[in-house]
Amino acid sequence: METSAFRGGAPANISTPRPDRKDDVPDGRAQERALVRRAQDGDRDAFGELYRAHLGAVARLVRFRLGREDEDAVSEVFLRAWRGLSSYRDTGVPFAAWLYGIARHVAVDVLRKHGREEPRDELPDGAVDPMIAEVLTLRGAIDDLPTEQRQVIELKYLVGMTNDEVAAAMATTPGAVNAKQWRALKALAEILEDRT
Amino acid sequence: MSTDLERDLGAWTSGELSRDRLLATHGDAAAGLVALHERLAGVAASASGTDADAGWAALLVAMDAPAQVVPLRRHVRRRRTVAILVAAALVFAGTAFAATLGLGRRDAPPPPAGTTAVEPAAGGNSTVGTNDRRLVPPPSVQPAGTGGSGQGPSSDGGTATGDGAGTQGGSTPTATDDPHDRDHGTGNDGSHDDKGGGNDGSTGTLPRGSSGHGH
Repeated sequence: METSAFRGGAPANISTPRPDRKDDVPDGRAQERALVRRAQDGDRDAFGELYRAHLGAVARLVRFRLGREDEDAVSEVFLRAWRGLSSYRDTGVPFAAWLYGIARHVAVDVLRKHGREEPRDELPDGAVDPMIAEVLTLRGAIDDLPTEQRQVIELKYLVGMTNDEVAAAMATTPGAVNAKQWRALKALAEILEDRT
Repeated sequence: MSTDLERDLGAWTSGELSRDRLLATHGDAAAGLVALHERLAGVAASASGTDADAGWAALLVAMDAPAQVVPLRRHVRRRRTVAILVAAALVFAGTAFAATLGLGRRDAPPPPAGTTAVEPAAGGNSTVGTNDRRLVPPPSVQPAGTGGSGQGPSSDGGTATGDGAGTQGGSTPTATDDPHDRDHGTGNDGSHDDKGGGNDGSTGTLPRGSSGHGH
């Protein structure tokens, strides 16, 4: 029978710290809320700080969804965020989760505009960057996950949110997020195994 | 997946448990998940750094530009107007057609004898074989003395006195009268033979459940 090697409490933060994250400390949330309020009042400098804080996460997410770098799409995410700031309501859900929703929509719009990407199977060997091929493989498997598990994976690994932040975004507890993350990974491993 | 494994995986990612200790405790069950976790983290970390300053400068230009107005699909509105006009025309045409039909029937000459429409006799209410109310004139007030002196129709069958034996019902047989007329000119050609007594008067039986008091 398995026993736990860890004797401490449930981990609060199990994600790899991101260098571009400024809200990992408790004050970070309050600081971000203040920036959002200032940006809602039209303060561009405040929005610029939000842009720098979340640029990496948005770029990762766009790249993962599109399978390529797309600065225009990243810019479009922040442009829509700026124009839609008046509709943003601080309900305890992290600002990054709101950006995540916008980024997904932008990615869908870009894919729709440019048409479906060429299927990988029809590409000649060597035509695809191995890392892009890896992204496409993982993305295809992640898309087959149930919505909740997919969201946990994307918020944790792409947006780089902590368990507390994901819990706030999904209206659940950090412990439940931890369990969902590993169950999602187990399901993802099974999907990938079935495909090979 | 056990809760112990989930907890230890969480402890590992937060740096509270070493990788070796995790794998030693949970073996292959943890190894596959650790490998996939590192694979995903590697993909996320592989993104090339975005030039924030250049991106922000470009974004500022876009923020200053007026929002692109996407014209609404006007042809939808035009199509809706056409649909409303067509619907209105259909309604108008249908109404006009119905009105024309109604006028045509009202102006039509009286049907020839032998049809189901029967010209009612004066003061009578003998309408045999038709249900078309448009062919039946409204009931006229009976002149005194020409009809039976039944006191009220007694719709609930309670208070009719029924002492009339006069000319009620029109005594002149018409062409459509039953040749075996048994009602002696009462116009009541049914099987019920009341000998011209109208509504059977006091001999009438009360309908079931009737209290016998007229309203």
